[in-house]
Amino acid sequence: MAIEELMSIIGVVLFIGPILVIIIAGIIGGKIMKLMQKKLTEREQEIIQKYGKDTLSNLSMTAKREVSETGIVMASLVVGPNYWQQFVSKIQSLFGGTLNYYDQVIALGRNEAMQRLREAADTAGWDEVVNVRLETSKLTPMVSNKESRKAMELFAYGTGIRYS
Amino acid sequence: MAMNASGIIVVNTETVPGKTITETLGVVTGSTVRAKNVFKDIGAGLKNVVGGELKAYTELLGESRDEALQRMVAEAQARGGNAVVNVRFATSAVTAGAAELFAYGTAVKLE
Repeated sequence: MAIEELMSIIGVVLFIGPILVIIIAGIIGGKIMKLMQKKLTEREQEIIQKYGKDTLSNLSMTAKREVSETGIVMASLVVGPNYWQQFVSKIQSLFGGTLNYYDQVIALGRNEAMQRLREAADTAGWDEVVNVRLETSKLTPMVSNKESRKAMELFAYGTGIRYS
Repeated sequence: MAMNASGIIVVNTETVPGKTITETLGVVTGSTVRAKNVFKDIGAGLKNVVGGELKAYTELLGESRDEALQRMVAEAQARGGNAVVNVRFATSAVTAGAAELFAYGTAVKLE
């Protein structure tokens, strides 16, 4: 009897466990994303207040002013959607249409990469970053060839210029 | 990162503002293929459950990209150039767990 009870408990745990993990991941992951977004907005405001405008542009050259120095600036990060977002997106992709969660994660990651570029330029002492390019690439996990891990790298680079 | 230790100017614009290009020395490239150790990979897998930034990967790709850039600069230097213009980056996942980071540009001589 005891063994049977034990088996049934294990069965229930195995059944409920993954569902619980997905739900908890959704709750914690949602909080993490909100926190990232909040911090990002604050940091963006900081840079805008310091320079009076957005320092990035993707034109090859902006103002016609004397430039004293130039150099490359890069910034990147890897982000992934949490299990809840992956789960919902998988169901959504059956019906087609917009995958809202992927939208959100990529948009947040890209804004973060751009903000890091602004900050990298700020630390290096550039007045402005021109010719900004954005790139996205997919990462694969090491342990298996299955696409079990959903992670993407968002990369931003540009040329920092200093006015004389 | 304004100037590398080698004193070579690296930009991703077609020209270096305020300077004139006297000679182009052809395309220079630099690439690295790197993988993170298994433990960090598993750690990143756990972080993937709740989502957000996977710092281990960010670090890995950042380091590799710097190295690719350094190799490109070294090649430009070997050709006698003092700047690399129109730099572009490419990333590809060659095999599971490893990424190739690739940088290329045109080596030039500035006056």
